[in-house]
Amino acid sequence: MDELDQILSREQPLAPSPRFAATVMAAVRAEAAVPPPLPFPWKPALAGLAACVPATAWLCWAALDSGAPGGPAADGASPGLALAVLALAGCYALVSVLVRRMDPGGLTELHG
Amino acid sequence: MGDEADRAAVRRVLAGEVDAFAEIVERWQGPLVNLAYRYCRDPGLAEELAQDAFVRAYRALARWRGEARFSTWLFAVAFNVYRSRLRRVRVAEVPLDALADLSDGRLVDREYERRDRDELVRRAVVSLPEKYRDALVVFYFQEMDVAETARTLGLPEGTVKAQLSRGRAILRRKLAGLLPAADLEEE
Repeated sequence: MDELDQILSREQPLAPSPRFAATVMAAVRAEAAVPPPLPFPWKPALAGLAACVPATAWLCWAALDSGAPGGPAADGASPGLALAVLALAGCYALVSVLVRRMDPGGLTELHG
Repeated sequence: MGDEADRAAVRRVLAGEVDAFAEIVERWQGPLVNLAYRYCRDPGLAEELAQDAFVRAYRALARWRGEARFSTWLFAVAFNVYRSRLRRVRVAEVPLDALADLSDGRLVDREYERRDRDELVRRAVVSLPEKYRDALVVFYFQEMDVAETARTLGLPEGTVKAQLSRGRAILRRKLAGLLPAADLEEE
């Protein structure tokens, strides 16, 4: 052990002040009294995102299709949008059911 | 025995008995305050940092998986708290370049008692670049145990050894006049 080792390892211990432990416990109790923050609902959010993928694809297809001569937009109606919304809702319901089947606790316990 | 007592206290805290955490605080307040002091050389700030570390540990207690000793996990939590806090709060460092000017053997003989010199060397550690400072502070705090230092820092042992070697080399160069010549020859 050289001089540098000796200097750095022989440091006199510093004693915490007498009130230190009580102060820490007061902070810990305050922390314990605060309700935990609501965690982000990842699984429902992921289900929604997963549902968006086919819905977006459908929307794109519908938009392209309505621009085509003689397409659905030609007569003033916009069935593409309605179908996209229906697809979104349907996909969300489907993915939610699948997630529920994977986790019997259901979406209410999926948070976090 | 100590680790078993810690595990029992943790189980009670996780079961909802907040006051059981006081046992952990009583047992580890000294080491956590001392580790913080080695980082900042300020007793008041050291207690503030140690308090933050205990609160953070309390909050994260459920994430301790019990594979490592409780103390290893607690020191790792504390180390992360200290390092992130000290990135925001500047401590009274001794600039390494200023130390080079002070490192005159005659000056040391006349003006510094051994304790003063030792304190200057310890403050020089705080002034090192972060990765060398962290390795040196934890290594000497852990009584020169490389494996325990590596676990606390969350780094491979080889990396810790390299950082220790480099950090000590910088210190020896900057403190050339404060340390005996034998220390310098080791490089």
